[in-house]
Amino acid sequence: MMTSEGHYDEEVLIALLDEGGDEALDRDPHIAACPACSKTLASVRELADVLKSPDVWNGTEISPEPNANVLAFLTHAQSDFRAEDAAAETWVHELLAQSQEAWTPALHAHPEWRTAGMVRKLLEASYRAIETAPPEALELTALSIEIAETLPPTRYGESTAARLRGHAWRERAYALYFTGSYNEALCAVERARAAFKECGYAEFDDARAGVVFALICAEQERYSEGLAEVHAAGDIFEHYRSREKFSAVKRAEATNLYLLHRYRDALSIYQVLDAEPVSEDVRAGLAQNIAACYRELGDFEAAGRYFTLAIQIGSKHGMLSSIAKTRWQFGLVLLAQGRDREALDLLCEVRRDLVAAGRAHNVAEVTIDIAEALVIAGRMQQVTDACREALDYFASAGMTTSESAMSALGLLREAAIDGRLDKKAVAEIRATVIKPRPSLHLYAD
Amino acid sequence: MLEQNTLEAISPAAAAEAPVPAPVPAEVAEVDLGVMYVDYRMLLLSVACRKFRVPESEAENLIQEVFLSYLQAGTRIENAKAWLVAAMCNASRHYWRAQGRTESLPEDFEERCDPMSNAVAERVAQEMTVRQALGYLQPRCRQTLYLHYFEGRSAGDVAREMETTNRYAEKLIHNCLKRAREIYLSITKVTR
Repeated sequence: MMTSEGHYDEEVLIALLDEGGDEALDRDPHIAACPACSKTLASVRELADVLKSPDVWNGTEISPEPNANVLAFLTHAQSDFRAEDAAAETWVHELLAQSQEAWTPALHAHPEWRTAGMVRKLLEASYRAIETAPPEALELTALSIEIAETLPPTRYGESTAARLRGHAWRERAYALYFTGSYNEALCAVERARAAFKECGYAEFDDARAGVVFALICAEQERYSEGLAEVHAAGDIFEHYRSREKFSAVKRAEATNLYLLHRYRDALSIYQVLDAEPVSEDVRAGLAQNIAACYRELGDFEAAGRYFTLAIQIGSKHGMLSSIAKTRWQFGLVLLAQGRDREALDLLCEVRRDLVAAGRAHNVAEVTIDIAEALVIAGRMQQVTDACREALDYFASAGMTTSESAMSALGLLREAAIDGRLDKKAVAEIRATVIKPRPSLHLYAD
Repeated sequence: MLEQNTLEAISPAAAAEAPVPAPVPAEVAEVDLGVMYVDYRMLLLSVACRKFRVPESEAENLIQEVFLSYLQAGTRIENAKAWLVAAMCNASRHYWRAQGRTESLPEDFEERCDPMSNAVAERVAQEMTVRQALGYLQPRCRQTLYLHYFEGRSAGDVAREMETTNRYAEKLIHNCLKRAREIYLSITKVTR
């Protein structure tokens, strides 16, 4: 029964598997103690299992020769793809050398720019610009959509044209989300998903749009929809073995959990992701989010450590939006630590940066924090103005449907006018009707 | 007695099922789509034709669409093999849904390729290799494994079917599985 090395003979293992079944083998003391026999047994079991599959015995013959037409088509398609991308690279460079106001006229003056390659290169440029110049990134998505919407299907094929349209709308949705125009972002993501549906074979692309949808849901307090979406997208990305996209899904999930005040759950997701190899921009975002969770959990020392790390990485890579948000959150830590004057100065600087970046929604939110700092600093007179600004910004960002936030601002302003406003009242209003802010720094992709 | 010590001539089907290349992270713009098509064609056709029973001519069209979508993914693909197999499953399901408007679907088309499974590509590649290994076996050996493992027949049933004794049928089952495993390992060893 045993080989000269003291292992079960393979035939014996097969016989034991056949006769005794799995349970008997699992009880066998030699197999349990012998890695070599366990390995052989696992391999035999695996083979026996595969032999039960009908696909192994399926008599369908497949022609071994590659289909010459398909091969020629793909080779030609890739050649066209590369040529268009190379031309578009130059055109985008030429476009970006001009002022933003000149971009649309330039596109209209160059009908030859209306290619699929130009759509791809504009989207790449938008992705690069989103952190440093969000309004420019947004404008680039508008140009890409203008081209994508008119790509001739006769030249590119129906599914290629629809897929590119979907990509353009998805990036548009992300840029709108990033700049705080959530209602418009929602419309854009719906356009993206409609285009992907036209393709037929686009579940991966659709899942990417789903992540953007989940991020918008988080901002619009539609948490259960957001969580359902990230779970569905996560399944797709696992199926496609896309670790990067799966990581993006987990970050979107954590955002929803954070906004649901489930800080420990969000923190544990971020810590798992932080232990993995990720790009520097994602690392900066993770550091900021971990810091925000620690702040909410009252661990200000850990929060300060991670905020510092986020600022260091962001500064190194010129991530201006990221730095502004991190400083904002750091301002809230200062506020929580009773360093009111420093907090107020920092928050006002952050507001200037956010105004420059065109992030209207964030401007509205930081104004609420400024109002709180003013109350704490005893500068009541300025609170009314700050609240009015916040209401204006909420309205311009399409947040007028958020009744709780609007009524909170109204209460805050009325209390300030009546001289009833104090630190406790602000804290109560924030805790009961306004979401904890600022938003996390996250990437949809 | 069993004749297991020499390999049979490779059947056309077995010869065609070349080993599938290991997954390689790729920047989509840098890969050669023609080379990828040749490398992954058999794997993707196996998914479509054997798992989803899509006719080969239609499956070739689906492969073309899958590679086009790969080309336009607009993002880094970390595991090209897994991505293509998953996309092929998606395309095959879509094919049957579209066909379902005019003709009946295979009853189990949704279950043919578990969409939640992470290991579809590996499983399909493994099935292709086992199929290839079976192609090297003597017909009697193949039949034995088919009866016992696929049809779930007992050694006694196999003995009656093969017109031999129970004891010999048992030996046949064990030896044939051992032989199939030897061939399987030799194929995968070369592949790696």
